[in-house]
Amino acid sequence: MISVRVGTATDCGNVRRINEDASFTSSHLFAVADGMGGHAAGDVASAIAVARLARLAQRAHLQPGDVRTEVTECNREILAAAAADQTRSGMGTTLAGVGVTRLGGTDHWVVFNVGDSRVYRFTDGSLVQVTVDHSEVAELVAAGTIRADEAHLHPKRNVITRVLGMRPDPAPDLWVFPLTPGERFVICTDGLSSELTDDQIARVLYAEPTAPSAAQQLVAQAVAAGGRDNVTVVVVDHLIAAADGLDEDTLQRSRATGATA
Amino acid sequence: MSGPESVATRYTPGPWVGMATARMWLIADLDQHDPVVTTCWELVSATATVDQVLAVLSRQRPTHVPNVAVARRGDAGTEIVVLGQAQADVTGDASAESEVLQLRAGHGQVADATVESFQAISLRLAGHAPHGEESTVSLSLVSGVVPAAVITVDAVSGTALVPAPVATAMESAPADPPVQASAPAALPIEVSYPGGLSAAEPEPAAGAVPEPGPAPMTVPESEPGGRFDAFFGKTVHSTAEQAQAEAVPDEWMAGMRPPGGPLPDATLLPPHTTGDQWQPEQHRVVEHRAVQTPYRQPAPAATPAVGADLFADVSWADITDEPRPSDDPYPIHPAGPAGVARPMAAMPQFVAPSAPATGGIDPELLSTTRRAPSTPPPTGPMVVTVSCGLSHLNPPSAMHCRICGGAIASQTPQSRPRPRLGVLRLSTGEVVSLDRGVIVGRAPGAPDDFGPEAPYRIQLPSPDASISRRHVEVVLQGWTVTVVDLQSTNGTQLAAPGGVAEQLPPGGRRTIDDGWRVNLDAATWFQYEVIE
Repeated sequence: MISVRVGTATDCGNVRRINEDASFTSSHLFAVADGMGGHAAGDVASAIAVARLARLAQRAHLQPGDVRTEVTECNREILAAAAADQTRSGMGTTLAGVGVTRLGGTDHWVVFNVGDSRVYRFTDGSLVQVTVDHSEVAELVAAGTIRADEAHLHPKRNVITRVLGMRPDPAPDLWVFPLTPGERFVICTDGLSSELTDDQIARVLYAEPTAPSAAQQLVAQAVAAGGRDNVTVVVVDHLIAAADGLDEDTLQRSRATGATA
Repeated sequence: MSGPESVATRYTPGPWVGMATARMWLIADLDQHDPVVTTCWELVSATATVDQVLAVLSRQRPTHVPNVAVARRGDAGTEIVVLGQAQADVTGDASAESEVLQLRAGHGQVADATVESFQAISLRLAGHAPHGEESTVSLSLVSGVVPAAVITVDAVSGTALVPAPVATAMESAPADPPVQASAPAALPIEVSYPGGLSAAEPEPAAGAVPEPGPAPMTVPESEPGGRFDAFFGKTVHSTAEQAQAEAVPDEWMAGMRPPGGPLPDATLLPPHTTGDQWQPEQHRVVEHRAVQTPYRQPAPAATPAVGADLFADVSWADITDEPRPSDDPYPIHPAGPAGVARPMAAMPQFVAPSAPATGGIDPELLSTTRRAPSTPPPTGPMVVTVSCGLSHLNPPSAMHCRICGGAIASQTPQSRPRPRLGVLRLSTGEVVSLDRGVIVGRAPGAPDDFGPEAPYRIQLPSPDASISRRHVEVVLQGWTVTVVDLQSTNGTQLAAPGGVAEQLPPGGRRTIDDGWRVNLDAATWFQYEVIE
């Protein structure tokens, strides 16, 4: 099993009265959820989502397909909870996270998201956004209608196109790739990404040596920058690589198998 | 009661959802694929009460209450309600045809009226100019759901309609309020218009209006208070005359921001100009509505047509004239030449900046309110599809379903997000979903850049290092699955089910089908399986 160090921080922000974000961490599954809608039932929706992930984390061998299935079931649970209680009608939540999955005998990351909560990957001082927001602005950027640097000022930046709690069941986007030693993941609600630029986030990640200090510092800066929304950040540091020998040259099969060509 | 009880409904095709029966008409900026359309139609076709219809629409999407105009003929006359940025034009009976009641609510608000009779009712959404200006098409509609820009209801043969008793299965007690006798001195319309108008009681305004006809439009004298409070807050009643005299449209179209006035932070205050009229517990609904409108930026001099204000500068004619093929559920809208976005959401709202947006934005506008989705997820590649009887998506050329083998009936192909094309089953037993491509190798690493279509990277152990770091890629293109050798040191072997293995040379490529096996070395392979 891989070795990780995890830091989590959250803040209600300067405007909201309640924190509708939720987060979940275990040894191999990490996620945030940003609840919304209904009459203050957003926190119920995000709590359902992380409870679902907690169940998923108990599974012995997490497969990427399990994430997809769990997201669908989570969506139905939220819809059912909303239908059962009118005060929760219309509630929903984003979900974004990183888990460890075993494929072909090797550990891989599976990154997933529904909505506009994000997963970033930070390696060698460079920050890359793994997930693609399910928002109208992200689609406008993808279509080339607006530039990426215009997106966070756009009036529709908060209109999300997929969320847990909608019909039909939203599919999560998944990314699967092998582990790399020394990489760091940031999983965050849009309370972080709407307050800090990627460059500001990267500076904090570069400066803060540990996952807990990085998470706390990111949340603190997002609140200082305005804190207009709940902010939740999970930082995952991948400490030790699982496999060795990956950098050796590929051998000619005749040599590798000992046959004489 | 006299005169014909029939009406003729016509509609101008357009981007919104229109519904009509002989007794109820509705237009709303719903997404045409939203399941709520079906629910709403069930209510409309059963002549449910207006309240029931509006409740469904607002409960379904509490974070995105649609803009709606609805009219319903009941025992007590014809009730007309507009919600949000919608509009109803009601023409009185034939003898007073010039008398048009224009019912508007405004952003996040409700207006309603009940008329005893009418000559014509036209329902539309805000900003859509009177019919004839941008579209002259007017189609007849007896009953049903249509993509519409305007719904027009005309009393047949020039005679004003009088109330018709309606049996309503879904109507709940108490029944509609009784119609009061008309008050002849004033235009006897009661309009709820909360947008900054006086809360004073309606007062007679003799002489201020055209001479009322013999069958004036009438309304209940007292609307039960708080009827629509659940949607947007308490409404303020005023006279129709006041509502019409008020210089509403500019502000209305500009997103409710009074020119030069302070803009409340949507997350802090009840939005709009008259915060003291709002009940605190209504903030949650309203704040979601407030995000989209107060967006201002300097108009670039080079493109004066593309300007500052959201609604004022969107070219409505452009948008409503845009073909909206009904067979394409997720149309992709390229930016127009003038930079006008054609968003997939129902309301055109956005003028794409052609200059950097920074600097011109009021920092107060950086609101953090959230809205739930109003559109289906359109990300990812699109493919042209046909469906089998079990709704499995297939390539247009398919005769039998790739999933269930069922026959595929002749049909018009539709463009849809591509379903996953199956899975790769690894020799170790796990499966990798083919919702995107896959790069397989001994050490494929993480992508330098991710994105909506970044291939999965699957690492397979190779103790003897005979598998290359990045050995082979499975590429998805439309409906086709292709294996591409990534200049591997030892090449890739392919075998069709029951076929003889063939060698794919380094850099070679080959399209594969269900059951094909791909070998990276003697012990390491994966198999393509077409499953749902």
